[in-house]
Amino acid sequence: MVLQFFPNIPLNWMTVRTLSRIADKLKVLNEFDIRGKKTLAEQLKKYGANVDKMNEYVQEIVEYFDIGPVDRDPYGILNRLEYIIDLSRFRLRSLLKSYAPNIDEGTLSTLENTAAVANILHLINKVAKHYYNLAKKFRNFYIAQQIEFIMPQLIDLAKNYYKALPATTQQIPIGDGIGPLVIANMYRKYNVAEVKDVGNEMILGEAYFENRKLLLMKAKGPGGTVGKPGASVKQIVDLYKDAIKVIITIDAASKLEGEETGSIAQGIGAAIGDPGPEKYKIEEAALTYRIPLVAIIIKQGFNEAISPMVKQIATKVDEVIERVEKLIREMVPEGGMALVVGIGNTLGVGNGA
Amino acid sequence: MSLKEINETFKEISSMKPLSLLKCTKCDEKLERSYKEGEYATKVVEDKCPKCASPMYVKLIYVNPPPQPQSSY
Repeated sequence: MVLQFFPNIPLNWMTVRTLSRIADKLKVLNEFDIRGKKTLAEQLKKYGANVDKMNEYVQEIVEYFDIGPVDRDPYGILNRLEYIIDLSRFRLRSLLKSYAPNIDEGTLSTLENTAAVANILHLINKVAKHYYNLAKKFRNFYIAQQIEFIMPQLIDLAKNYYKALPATTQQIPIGDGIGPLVIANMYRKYNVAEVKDVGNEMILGEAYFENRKLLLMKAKGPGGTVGKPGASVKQIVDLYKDAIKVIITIDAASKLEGEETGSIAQGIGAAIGDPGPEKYKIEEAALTYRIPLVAIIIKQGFNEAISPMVKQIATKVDEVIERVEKLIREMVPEGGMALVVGIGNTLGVGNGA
Repeated sequence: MSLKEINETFKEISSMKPLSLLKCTKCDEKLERSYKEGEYATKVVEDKCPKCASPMYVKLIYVNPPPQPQSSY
């Protein structure tokens, strides 16, 4: 009865309770952030970073950002986006190399992955804290409610990114590396003696399968990189033109809830999850010479794609190779040529030969 | 998820043991053992094939997925 005359009291009480629950969850995000930074610091130290300046180095890396290109005028946006992505990566690598002077080129890619994970864990924590403080500042129940609603997803996201750290520090393949892993196993299966560095951190091996030539491409391992498959596919297609009868891309893809991890599906198009420039180049190259573009995907959850590869995914390699062989028999006449590209992070996956 | 529950996740992650599946370079023999640091898929390792004593290479590296909580449905 009394509360009817003070309608703000229940709402304020609910706001205080909600903020208190969020504060508890923020401790979890903060713990992930701290552990991410700690792992990054350990890795930097391992490769000769100055221990006295470690806090400064780690802070600079986790606060690193890039600004996407303007999209109000979309003309040429993919070129600008590609430029920003390349530049961002180049700058981050330079920073890491200057902080960890004893690192070699291959391991630098792996350290880059560790830095990226620490950066994301810090970002998640920072954004959640921002909305919590905003709700607290304005005593706004509705802002507090929104952040409380998405908190379980944020914690799950942080947890999954955190799981990627052991893979990047120990150089173990992650779920996303299934495409390169298939190609590496094809190098072994067809006894590819030598692979060529085709630039853009990509390698190419030539093999023969039932009187058909196979051009097998993946990112250069075993460091953690995805390379620039679009640029390399374009380069190879421009070289062999319509002698290539099919382009097959193999990649990990997000499964829907309820779908089985490691299930394989086949379709049309370029199976690649980049922000746009690489996919565009593959599509453009295929279109120029009217080459069929076939995609094979290995389904997995987002958490599985960024954490160490689970057995259920890894053991699908031979089945994917069988699917590729079946496709080649169907689509490439004897004497013809096929380009098979394993898309994804090649962390912990070597170059076969 | 509380801080206490998340500590379980940290324990689970730190106890995650990667495995290497080795394959013989000559025959089809396969062997699963613990992953050794520095190994990567396709690397030829020192282990010999138990069947024909030929060198073996790392075919796959993986972890066993953590046990999933049982659904109540």
